Amino acid sequence: MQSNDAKLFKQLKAGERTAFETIVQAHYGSVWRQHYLLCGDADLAADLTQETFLQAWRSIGSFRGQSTLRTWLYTIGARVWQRKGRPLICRATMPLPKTLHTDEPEPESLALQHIQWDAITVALQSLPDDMRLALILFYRQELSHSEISEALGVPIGTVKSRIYEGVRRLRRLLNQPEDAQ
Amino acid sequence: MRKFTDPVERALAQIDAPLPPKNLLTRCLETIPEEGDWERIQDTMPYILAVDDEPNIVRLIQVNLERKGYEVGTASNGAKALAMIKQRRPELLISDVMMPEMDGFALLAALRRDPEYADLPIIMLTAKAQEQDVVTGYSWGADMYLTKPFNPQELLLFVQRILNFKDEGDNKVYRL
Repeated sequence: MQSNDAKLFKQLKAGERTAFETIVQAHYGSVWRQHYLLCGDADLAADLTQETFLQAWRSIGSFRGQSTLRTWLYTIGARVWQRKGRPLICRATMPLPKTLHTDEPEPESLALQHIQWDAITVALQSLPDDMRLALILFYRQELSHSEISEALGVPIGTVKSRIYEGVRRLRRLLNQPEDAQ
Repeated sequence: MRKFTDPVERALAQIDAPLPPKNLLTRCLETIPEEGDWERIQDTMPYILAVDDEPNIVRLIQVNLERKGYEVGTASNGAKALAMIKQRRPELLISDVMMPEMDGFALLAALRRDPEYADLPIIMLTAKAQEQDVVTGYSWGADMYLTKPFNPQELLLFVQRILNFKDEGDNKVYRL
C-alpha cells in the first residue's frame, strides 16, 4: 500500500472525518464512472456510488492494506454493482452513437482513437455483464487479474478468459483484425 | 496507465465517461458516519463459528479469518456448537462433518429444522475421500462445501461471498 494510503487508513480507522472526506473527494468520480460504464444510467450509477462508500466504511475493519485505496474501492464497487446494479440493468439512457463505424476519412491514428472512444462504449454494452465488468476493472480501473478474481469470487482463469473473450468479441464488433495484438 | 499496442485494448484503457452528477459529491459525503456511529460500525465485524474436532483445522480457520478482521468462535463438536449458536447467533457457521458426539450432518439437520436458523449460512468441510458427503450436505441445506485440506484463500473467498450476499438479504443467490 502506498504510504499516503496507509496514513489515510490509519486516520480512517481512528474515525477522523477529514480522512473520510479526502477519500470521497479523491475517488467519487472514478467510482461513479465505473458504475456508469457498467449500467449506462447516470442516476443509478450515482446511487451505486453512494452505496459503494457506505459499504466501504462498513468493511474498513476487514481491510488489511494489501491493495491500494483505489483498488479497494473499485473492488467494493464491483460487488455493489453485482448485487444491486446488475439486477436493474438499465442502459436506456446512455447516449449512444447510431453506428459503430464512420466512413469519413481520417488519419489512421486519429480515427482509431476518436471512433473507438465512442464505438467501444457501444460495443461494450452488447457484451454479457460479467465480461463487461472484467474488462472495465482490468483496462479502465487497472485492477490485476488476482484482484478481480478476489473481487468477483471467481478463479483467476475465469477472469482471464472473460477478458480474452471480451477483447476478441470487441475486435469483431469493431472490425479489428483478430491478430492485432 | 498501462500501455497497450492493440487498438481495442488501448481504447478500453482510455474509455471515458461524462462528469458525475453535480450533487454526487454531497451525497457521498453524507455517507460518512458520525463519530458515535463509527464506533458501532467498527464493532460489528461479522461473528463466525468454526466447528471441528481437529484443533489444527480450527486454528487454521480462526487465524485466517481473524486476520481479515472477523470475530471467530470455535467449538469441537456439533453439540457444543449448537449450544453456542443458541447463546449467540453467528453470521456464518463453518463445520466439519466427522466429529464425535454430534457430527456435522446432525448439526446441519438440527439447525435447518429450527425456523430461527433455517437461513443461517453454513459452509461444510469434508475430507476429499468422502465426496459423497458433498451431495448429502447440499441436499440437507449446506450453502457451500470445502474439501480438506483446503486453501485458506479459498475459504476466505467463500466467506466473503456468503457474507456479502447475506448483508443484502439475498443469500439465496448462493443457496445451492
